[in-house]
Amino acid sequence: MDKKFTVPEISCGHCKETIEKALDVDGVSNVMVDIDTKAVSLSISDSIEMTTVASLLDEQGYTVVQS
Amino acid sequence: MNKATQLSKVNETLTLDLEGMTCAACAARIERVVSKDESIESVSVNFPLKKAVITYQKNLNIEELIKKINSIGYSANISAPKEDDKTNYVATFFIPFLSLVFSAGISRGFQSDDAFISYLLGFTVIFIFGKRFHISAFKKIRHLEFNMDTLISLGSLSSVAVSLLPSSNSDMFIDAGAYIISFVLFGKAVEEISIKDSINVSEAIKNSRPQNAKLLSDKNIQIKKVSDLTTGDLIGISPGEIIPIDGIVINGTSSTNEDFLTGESRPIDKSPGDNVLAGSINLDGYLEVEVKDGAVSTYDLIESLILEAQSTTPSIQKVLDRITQFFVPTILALSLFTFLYRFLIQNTDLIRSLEIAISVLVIACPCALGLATPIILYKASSLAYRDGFIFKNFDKLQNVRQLNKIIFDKTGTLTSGVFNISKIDTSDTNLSEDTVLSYVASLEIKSNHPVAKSLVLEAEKRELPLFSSEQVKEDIGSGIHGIVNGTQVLIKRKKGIENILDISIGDQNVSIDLEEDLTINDELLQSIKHHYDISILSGDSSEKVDILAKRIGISNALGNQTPEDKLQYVKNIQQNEKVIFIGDGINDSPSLQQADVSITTSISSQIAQASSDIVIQSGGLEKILSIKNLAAKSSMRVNQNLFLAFIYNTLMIPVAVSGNISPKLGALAMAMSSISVVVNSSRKLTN
Repeated sequence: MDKKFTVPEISCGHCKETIEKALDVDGVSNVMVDIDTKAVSLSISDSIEMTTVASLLDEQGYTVVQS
Repeated sequence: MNKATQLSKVNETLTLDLEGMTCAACAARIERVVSKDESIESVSVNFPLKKAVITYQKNLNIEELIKKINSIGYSANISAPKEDDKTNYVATFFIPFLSLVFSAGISRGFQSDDAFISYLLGFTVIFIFGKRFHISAFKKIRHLEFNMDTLISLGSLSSVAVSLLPSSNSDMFIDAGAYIISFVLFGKAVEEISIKDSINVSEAIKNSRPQNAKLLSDKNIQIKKVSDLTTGDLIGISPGEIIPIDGIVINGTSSTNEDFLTGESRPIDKSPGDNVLAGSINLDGYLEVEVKDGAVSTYDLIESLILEAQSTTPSIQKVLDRITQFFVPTILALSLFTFLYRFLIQNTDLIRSLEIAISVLVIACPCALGLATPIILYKASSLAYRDGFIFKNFDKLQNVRQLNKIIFDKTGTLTSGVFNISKIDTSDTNLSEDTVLSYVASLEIKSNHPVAKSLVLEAEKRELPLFSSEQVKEDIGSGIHGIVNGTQVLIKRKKGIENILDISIGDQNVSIDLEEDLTINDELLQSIKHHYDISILSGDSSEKVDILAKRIGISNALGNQTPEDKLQYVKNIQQNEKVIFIGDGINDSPSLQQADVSITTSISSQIAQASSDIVIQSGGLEKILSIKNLAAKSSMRVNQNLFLAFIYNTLMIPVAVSGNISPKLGALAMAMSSISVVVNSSRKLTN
């Protein structure tokens, strides 16, 4: 399932890398981070909940805002 | 409430040094992650200072916290309390000195047939004292990179290798290796001392900067040290001033520039309730700010900026690294070639071939290299300070010599910047001159404009009382307004006529005629013109600029320049050549940052000082020539030193390749180059 959401804290390439790394887990693929629009898009499989994704990002200090 | 909870309520503060932050968002992330811990009361991460100030309850597990920060990609360490930065010459030079004594002992040992002692001394110097060079060289070599450390490590290790060969007279080579290490250690020590000294110099800069804040209490302004401010203090910040400490706006509206801190160059509007950051610049309105809990001050910020400037590697060092990048492989190849030629073609025996090949490596290492630049840098920075200016890094100083285009912002740089009052016209009112000036100065004291400063100065001269003022807002380039003593006061430049101020106090209108002090030292200007192509960009009217330009014979002079115009002008010139910009106002900071070298004076606005590469502390225009002179002299001396450091050893390379080098000859080359470098460096730098 494709998901798209906003992460307001994104500001530079560093953030992009961190998010991509944090979401490098089973069940999450095609992670795309757009710095300008602060948007993250990804595909998740049935084995993983969106709340898990949000908590992965939360651990890194990012919030997920549904758009 | 039981005792345990009472105890745990006691808050402590912890300061962490952070590494790895790349932008302000990183700081925000760390704050978010850290603040999740329940024992944390508050956390404030400062990006430019690379520090986090954390208030916590006693039961916080600090190690866990640090681990947590590390886990999101940064590294945190507990800040060490500031050590006593008194320069300790004895401690700094102890190891180099010991190293030199040991090295001198080596030949002694061999002479008295006490080879064991010699080897012990040699090994101590090369392997223990010189450990850091080998480690650094090894790290580089893994990536096939070479630098000075490679050369030092290679030379000294080769000397050990050649001295261990079972051959007659080559054991003496080990002292060459030991000398290499010793001399370089000496160079490093000089460098260290010079950095420490320039930190002391920057202490002096800091002290000369307005590190004071205007502390406001009931209708009374008091000047207080920023470091003495406490939570809840109310301070006043005029336009153009750097906000000295984190806080919350209580009164006034303005916009601030946080470019310094966040890279965001757009002005950010501030009104009561908004946070302001230490180190950002208050642009156009007078603000009253309440000091925040756990606030960071610009005091620390400026220190970190200066340290950053000093820790940038001068490009001479980069040139040197480029030379060694080429030099080291060449020497390695030459050494290998020598070995192969001897062993395979000339059928020299293996040991002798090795000995000759390694002696090439030893001899090629210019041990005075480490001394060549630090001494000169040190002398240049202390001379500059004594002469009344400070350069933030050595390369910028060098640029002053190479460039020949200067742009002046006329007000306050070419001229004295002082305005005299020629007339106060109160004819339409019942106000006295002194009353008018009292009201005007009460408003203008909150501005940093040269006109404002001149008016306040005049009020001070006349010993007039100043009133409290509120809702003060400056319209940059045109005027200022606000409420003084309950009366609305508006000061504006008269349209079209530069030197007349239209003033309304309540419903009464007055005007003040000003006269700018245009005294310029012509002789001085001529000698600057001799070296530099001068342009003038001024915010004043074209007419006025033309008059001045004609009088001093400068053809490139433009008036009515906005900050954007100036910036564009600088950018245009930069397409063809590099440029020096000399300015002093808030308006000039974008151009100062854009220019290849920027110069300002210590009486300029803080933002101008912060944006500039060179700050003239005392004196005026004549310093430009001193700066140029110092730049030329120091650059020449460094080049001479580099030449002297290389020449003797390079001359010895053919001798080594031919197999005729003796340890004595090697030592001679080392000694000659080091002595020449030291002697050349100790000559007086300026005349």
